[in-house]
Order: sequence, then structure tokens, then C-alpha cells
Amino acid sequence: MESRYNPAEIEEKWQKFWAEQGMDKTPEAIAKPKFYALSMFPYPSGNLHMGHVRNYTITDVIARTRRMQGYRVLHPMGWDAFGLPAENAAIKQNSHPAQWTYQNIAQMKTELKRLGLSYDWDREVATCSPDYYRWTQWIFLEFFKSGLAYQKEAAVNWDPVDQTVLANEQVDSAGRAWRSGALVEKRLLRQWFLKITDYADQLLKDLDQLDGWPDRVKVMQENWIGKSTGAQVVFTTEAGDDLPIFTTRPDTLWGATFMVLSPEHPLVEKLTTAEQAAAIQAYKTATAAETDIERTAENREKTGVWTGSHAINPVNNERIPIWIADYVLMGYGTGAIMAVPAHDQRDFEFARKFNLPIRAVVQPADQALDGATMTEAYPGDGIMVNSAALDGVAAGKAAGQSVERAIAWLESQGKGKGTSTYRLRDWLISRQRYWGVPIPVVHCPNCGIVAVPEAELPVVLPEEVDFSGKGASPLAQLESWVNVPCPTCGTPAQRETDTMDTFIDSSWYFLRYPDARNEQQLGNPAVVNDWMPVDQYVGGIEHAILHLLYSRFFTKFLRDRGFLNFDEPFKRLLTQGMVQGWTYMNPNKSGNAQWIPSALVDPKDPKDPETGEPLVGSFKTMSKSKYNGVSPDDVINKYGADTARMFILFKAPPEKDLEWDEADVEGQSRFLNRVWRLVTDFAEQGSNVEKGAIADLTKPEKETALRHPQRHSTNHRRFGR
Amino acid sequence: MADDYQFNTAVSELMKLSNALTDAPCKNSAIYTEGIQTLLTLLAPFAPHMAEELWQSLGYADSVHHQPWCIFDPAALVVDEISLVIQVMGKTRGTIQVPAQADKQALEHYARNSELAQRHIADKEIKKVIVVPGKLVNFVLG
Ligand SMILES: [Zn+2]
Repeated sequence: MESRYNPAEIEEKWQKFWAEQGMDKTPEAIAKPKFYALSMFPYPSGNLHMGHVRNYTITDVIARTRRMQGYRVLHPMGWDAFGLPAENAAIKQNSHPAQWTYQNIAQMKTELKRLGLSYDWDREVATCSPDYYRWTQWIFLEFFKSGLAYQKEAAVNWDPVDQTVLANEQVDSAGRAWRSGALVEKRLLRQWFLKITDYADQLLKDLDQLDGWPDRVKVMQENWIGKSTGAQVVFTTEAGDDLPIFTTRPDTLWGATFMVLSPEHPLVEKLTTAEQAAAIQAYKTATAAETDIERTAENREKTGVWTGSHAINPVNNERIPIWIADYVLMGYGTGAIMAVPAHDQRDFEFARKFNLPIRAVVQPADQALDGATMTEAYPGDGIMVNSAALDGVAAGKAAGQSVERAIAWLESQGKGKGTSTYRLRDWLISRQRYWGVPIPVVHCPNCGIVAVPEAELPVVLPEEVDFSGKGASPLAQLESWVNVPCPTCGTPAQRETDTMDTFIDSSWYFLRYPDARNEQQLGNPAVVNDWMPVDQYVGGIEHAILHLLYSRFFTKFLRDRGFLNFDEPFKRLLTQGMVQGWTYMNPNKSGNAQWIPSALVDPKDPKDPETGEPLVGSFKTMSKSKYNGVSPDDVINKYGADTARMFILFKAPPEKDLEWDEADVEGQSRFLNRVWRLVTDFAEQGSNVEKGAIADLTKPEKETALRHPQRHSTNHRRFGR
Repeated sequence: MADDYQFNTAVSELMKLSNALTDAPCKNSAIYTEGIQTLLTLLAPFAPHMAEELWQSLGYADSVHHQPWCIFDPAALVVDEISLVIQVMGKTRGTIQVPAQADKQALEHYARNSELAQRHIADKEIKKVIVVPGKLVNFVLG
């Protein structure tokens, strides 16, 4: 044996040996408890970064330990391979997205293999491969058959740079596209949606089952689903049209002094009188240029226009004016609200600005509210007044208080009913891009929307496509692909040219690994149900909402279709912290120019190489734009994968951020060298060892052996040679 | 590691085990052999290549990754602490707790860094340090 520790030599040797022995293959049909260890699969962007290495190392240690603890372990890896970057790269480099993607996969797989991760590569999946997306299409058709995949005209987020529609989730709080950074515009398009709202209540309730999830992830999901309880109440226009509203405070209905509609509300045109038409039209045009974020910002000067019409408040038959204002959004609730200015600050500001009446219906104990003199809304507790049947009742949401009493009264009078609403919207899945899963339907002039028959799946992405990056999606431009006979009646028809949001691909990949090579089914249900749910899922907190929520939705849906026998896909979730690198910043510069590559900086005297200005150093999450990354390959070349793994695991608990510190990497390298010397010295001493022999010694015997080694000198030989 | 993945603690425990084995007085014993086996087995999920190389170099036919996970009991290998007397100019100033297996150099290190010694030496110059292993450390000042 080598007397010096040479990681490069031994690491490659054992990786080869383990692969030849098939040591990381998943054991089938043996009587051991199962353990499914899964890392969130990567997007094949080109190179592995330290965040990946940390994620996969954590999962690998768990998988290896479970094997030694007697579990049969499934520990697979794959590629979340569809998406915009490949298409953008194709446009820039005049190549094909598939070529770019598969090259990246090959590169990253080589890098992964150097880390000694115990993957069963026989189960590798790539979401862009037809043998995978065939089943993505199959699941889509299951949704379609259940009525949970539908098309509707909708105001959508239009990214003017990528020329595509974005989900609400892909627009940041500043109203910018999450990938391109462009300011998002509104457009009307016919889109495909998945009806995730049908599962809103289950997705909320079943969070209680998830004992092995971090609380903060559960809270984020709960807030995203955003359940609020209250009542639906139907106001009517003087022309007799229904104007339903949702309110969490139906007890304040007697204090409603006007209504506000979203400018996009379908009744606005009909309600607008001739005198108000010009003002309403101008206001609608102005609103169309605003983002939802701007429209609903707090402390904003209130704007609005009266339609000229009135509505009838169903609880007291009072005639109240109908206004439009941008702070009411069409996409949330019913697009109409009752305004109770005495008890809602936004309505109060609106009423004061436009001289609308204010009537208090909750009187606090310590003051007498008067609508004429109030300076702000009163949202607190008190006693109901001016509210007919509710007068004298304690205001509030507790049992027996005004909200509960109001709902009971509304229901008894047939004027409304208790209900809940959710912040969660149906999931917009249409993308006008090429590099994604084709939605497997055909539009027939006779039959309407027809599902592609299961036997004809997959609908394969055509390869001969033009990537100019301009105009409609490349698929829509490819007539030879678009034009097909209707599967039902044979009439000339057109394929759907939208592809699916890539979040769909990743909403079910964990179901494919248990039976990844099955060509007849998504997976044999017996096998999938045996391995699922995932016992330990590991990935980044940035997926705390969407990916995890969508995966939970798919799981519940496929359970309801009779394919799965469990409710939740991930039993335990570990969200690992970020990897941070030492970063130099020039405080006098702004934007990406402020980050100075550390290769250009002398750590003893950090100065901007261009201007000579002093730099500020700190730990920041590694990213390309900050030039603070450490390449996994460089670390492995210098220290070996084992040292990199030890450092990553030692430096910080898995959930916490990890500061990449070369001195600590060296510390782990020294430790492994000490272990090397310790064991090689032991081997050279000629000590012979017999596995398991020691297990007979009790703890007191061990202690005696340590304190009085001589006394055991004869004894220990029975364990030795 | 059954419920909580505190790998950083696990790695420090591995370091302690490795140090205990390095300092162990009984390198030619069955218990030492077990210590080496335990170290490599526990190291296997963390540093899989090195653990395998060292394991197989000891003559085992099977992979270290096929070994059963053992219950980690470093207490069995770490001998209790002893009380070390701290003297300054021959005068006893108190005692500190140190690992029983600490060598002369380590004892001096513990003694120098003890709050006790620093309090009584302050910024005076240390001329000589006398170490009696297992018993005391005496600082001779200038
Ligand atoms: Zn047809």
C-alpha cells in the first residue's frame, strides 16, 4: 500500500470498482425496510457549482448511512432538462437546444461521478427525453379527462424580452420577470390551466401530516394558499344584474356605503352611463399600464371613477353608488368589493377623497365614532350598531360574535352564505416556447379539443425547427408539424403548439425513479407505492413554495385517479443552506460592476484594480455575477473529493449557510492525512484483525483494557491472529 | 443520526475518536483493533474512498460500505480526565481538568492557557516550565 495519502489515485480506483461491482444499484424485492433518499434534481446549466455539491453530499451521506443500517436504499439522480436557457443558448449559438442540453448533462455527470456519490445511474431520468415526457403527457391527459386541465382567455403576464407568458410566481415583487428581469406587461391570451384550486383545502390541511418538514416551509405554503373565511353576498345592480362579492367581515354589511369594481370587471361597460363614459374609458386605459403590485401598494393616493350607476345592498335595500378603482383586481375574489369606509382604511381614504358617506357600525367602548368626524378607519372590537338584527352583538370573529351571527342571518334570509376563498390561483401552464413538453391535444373544427390517443404518445418535439428568437413559438411556425388529421373524425386539424411549464416536469419525477425503465406505464403502481413516499428529500429553500406545492398537488391528483395509495410525496424535507464565498465589493460602484473578482485582488491590501479604491470584503452566496464562486473541480483536483465532502459536512449544520474557507478545507485535509497515517501505522505494526471479534467485550472490560493494557496482553490474542 | 442530521457534530466526534486512537496506550490490543474498525466504518459515509482504501488494506475481503453501522460509543475509548495541579514558583495555585492521555507538550499547553496560570503569571516572563505528567505543571518566572 502507498504510504502517502494520494486522493486522486484512490478515488478514481474505487469509483470504478464500485461501479463494476454494482454496489449502488437499488436492491429489489428483499426483506429489508426501504429508504428513498432524494436530492432535488438539477437543471443542466453546464457546470456543477458548490450549492449542488453541498446538496448532493448531504443526501449521499444519508443514503450511505441507511445502507449500513440495514435499509434497502433508492438513491437516484436525473435532470430537469427543459426550459428557457437551452432555447436562448440555441438562439445565440445557432445550435439545437437538445444538443446544448445533452452536452451539459454529459459534463455535469462527469463532475458528479468524481464526488463519489452513490447513485443508481441505471435509473437516471432526463425530462427532455421522449421516454420520460411521454408520461408527462399521459398525466396531462389524466388532468384533461378529469376536467382539471382547461383553457380560458386570461390576462396574462407577458415578458416582452423572452416573448412568453409567465406564471404569477415567475414575476418578482417589483413586477419583473424572474429570468429576464424585464418589466412584465398584461396581455389577453387563450391559455391552459390546471385546476390546483380544487385541491386548495387538502393542500392546506395535509400540511399537518408533514412532521418532518421545517416549520418555515409549511408556513410559506400556508401563506401561499392563503385561505380566508367569510361570506359570499350578492348585491344587485338597478338593472337587475348580480354583483357577487366576498367579504371576511359580513357583519359590516350595514356599513357599506358604496361598491368598487375592478376596471376590468365585465359589468363595467353596461354600468357606465353616457355622462361617465369618457372618464371611465380614460381610467381603464391608465390602469392597463400598471402592474398588480403598483395597483395594490399601500399608502398610495387613491384614484377611481364613478360609473354613474347604483347597486342595491341586499341587507337593507339601500341604493349605493358603484365606482371603479385600480386597487380592486379582477384576478382575486370576484373583482368587486363592498366598501365599508368606517372600518377599512383603504375604503376610508377612498371615501374621504371622493366625499362618499361613512357610517360606523361597530362602536368601541371608549369613544363614540361619527362618520363625519373620523380621521381614520376603526378596525377594532366593539358593539354592533346601525345593523338591524346584529345590533348589540359583540363585534368579532369568535364563536357567537358578529361574523358568525351575520353569516347565520344571511343564510336564513337567503342573502348570502358562509364560504372560504383562497389566494391560490389555478396554475397557468401554457408556454409559447419550443423547448418543453408539447401539450398532447389537437384542435378540430368539428370536435373541438381532442386528446391525442394514449397509443400515439409521446407527441414528439420535432427537431427541424428554426430558432430565430422572434415572433411566435418555433412550433407554431412549423406547418408540417402543426397540421394533422383529427384523431376522432379525420378532418384536417391543428396540434396545440403551446408547451408545458417546466414545473410540471419536476412535479412527478420522483414517481418515475422507482420503476424508471417501465415502457408500459409511468411505473408499476405496486413498485411505486412500495418505494414512495420519499423518506428524505434534500434541496434548496427557493423551492419551498412552487415545486413542493405542485408535487403535493400531482401526488394527490394521481392518488385520486387510483394510481397512488399515499397522500404526501415527501416524508421528510431538509432545506440546506447556501454556500457563500468571500466577496470583494467596491462601495463606490453600483450594479454588477461593484463586485470585483478575487483573483484580481491582493487579500492583504484589497483595492479596486481599475480605480485603486479600497474594497469591502464579506461572505456572500456564491454566484457568477459576484465572481465569488469556487469550482468543485478545482477543489477535487487540489484536495480530493473526500476532503471536499468532509469540509462541507463539518463546516456548518446542513440547514445553515456555509462559508467557504480554504483554511478549513486544509484542516479537513490534514485530518484525513492523520487518519491515513494512523491506520497505515496500525497495518504496518502487523496487527492482525478479525472482523467482529471484539463485539464480545463489554464496556467495563473495554475500560479495564484501556487502563491496564498489560493485563489484557494475553487475553487479546484470542481476538488476534 | 436517526432524527437529526448534525453532520458537523458527527465529524467532530470522528476527530475525537481518531485522536483517542492516536493517543491510546494499548495499540496492540483487541480493543484498539475495534477502534480502528469503528473509525473506518463511521468514516465510510463521509469519506467513502479513503475509508474503502484503508479498510481493504487491512485485509478485509468485503467492502467497508457493506459493514453494519455500529453504535458510536467514543466514551469507551476516551479515558476520564485527571486533575492537574498548577504551580507558580512552586506554590500551588489550584487544579484544572485535563484529558488523562495528554502528553507533556499538551499538558504545558493546557496549563499555559488556563485562566488560573494567566491570572498568577500576568505579564511576567516565564523562565522555565516543569511538567510532571499526570500530576502537575510548575511555572518558574523571571
Ligand atoms: Zn374531429
